Amino acid sequence: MITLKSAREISYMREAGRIVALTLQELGKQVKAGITTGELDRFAEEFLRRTGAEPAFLGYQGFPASICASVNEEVIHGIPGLRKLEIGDIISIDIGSVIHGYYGDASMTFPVGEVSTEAAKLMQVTEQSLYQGIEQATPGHRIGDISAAVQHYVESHGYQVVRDFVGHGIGSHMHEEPQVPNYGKTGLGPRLQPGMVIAIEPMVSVGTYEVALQSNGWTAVTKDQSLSAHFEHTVLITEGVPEILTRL
Amino acid sequence: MVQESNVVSNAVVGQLAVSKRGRDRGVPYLVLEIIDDAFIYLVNGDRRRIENPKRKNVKHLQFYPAVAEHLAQQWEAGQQVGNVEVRKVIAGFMQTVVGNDSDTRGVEK
Repeated sequence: MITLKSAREISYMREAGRIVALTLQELGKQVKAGITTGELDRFAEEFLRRTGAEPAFLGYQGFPASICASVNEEVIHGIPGLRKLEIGDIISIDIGSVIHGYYGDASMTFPVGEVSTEAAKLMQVTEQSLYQGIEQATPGHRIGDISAAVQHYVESHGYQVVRDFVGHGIGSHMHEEPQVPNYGKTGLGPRLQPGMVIAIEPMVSVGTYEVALQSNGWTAVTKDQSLSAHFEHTVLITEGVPEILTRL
Repeated sequence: MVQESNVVSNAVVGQLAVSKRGRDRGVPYLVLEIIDDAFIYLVNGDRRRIENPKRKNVKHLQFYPAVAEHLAQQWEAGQQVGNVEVRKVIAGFMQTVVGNDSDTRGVEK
């Protein structure tokens, strides 16, 4: 069931969202060649806890860390560990917070030092596709309008949207209804109403949209090893312009 | 964290699908055959056996990441077999894969 959030719930989600945004911002400053994904995870967990929130991913369905750290051809759910970042890498960091029982979820892809023109373009297009989707997130529109906008923007730049994973409603649980695919047809899907909160998260690949699961059971990689980027915001549908809860 | 898609395009012969609409709402089936982009044939070894499969629109089904490979192979080869096995397989899948999932609750696992 799609739930509409009350004013109090929205205020909690604003807090959760702000915490995520702050943590991502600080994490971005930590991203540089030589640092390991594990160190980034520890930094994130400490920073999150200091704000009074809990890391939402830690222990979620058994996930062993506070952030997802996905490098290059890893699309999502990379598990932080000993991997050292190198110049030219791109790393997608996904982070979730929970405070007062309500969740915030956002992601960004960061360049490590100087990256290839293709990688830079991929990140730019992916981020912009997220905003194209958010623009559609107004009452009267449908989920399919968001999905189609993301897909159209991405494909017009020659890239592909990953289809096996989707955005989602969010509130007192990390994943709620509805699912928010990054591909689809306008005019289809649940109607957007003020009070809905959704996480829109385009995952884009330079090559194929097909992904394979690694043996750790979590990390998804592009089947042809092509680069992949991921951006995400938690968005509140209002009477007017959508409010991005995970932006400062 | 990203959610795995339960959407149409993942429909595969032998896959577990639970009805979301119709008088069979909540009834689990296995995909017997894919007719086209919108429709598939389903069986559950009980009311709906291989001989009289249920035709449903994929939009009215919730798919799960569980596929009965052995049955799928036989069905794709055109063999009309497996009524007894279908019931057992569905029961097994419902226990392990479905668990707390529900279309009517706000919780996704």
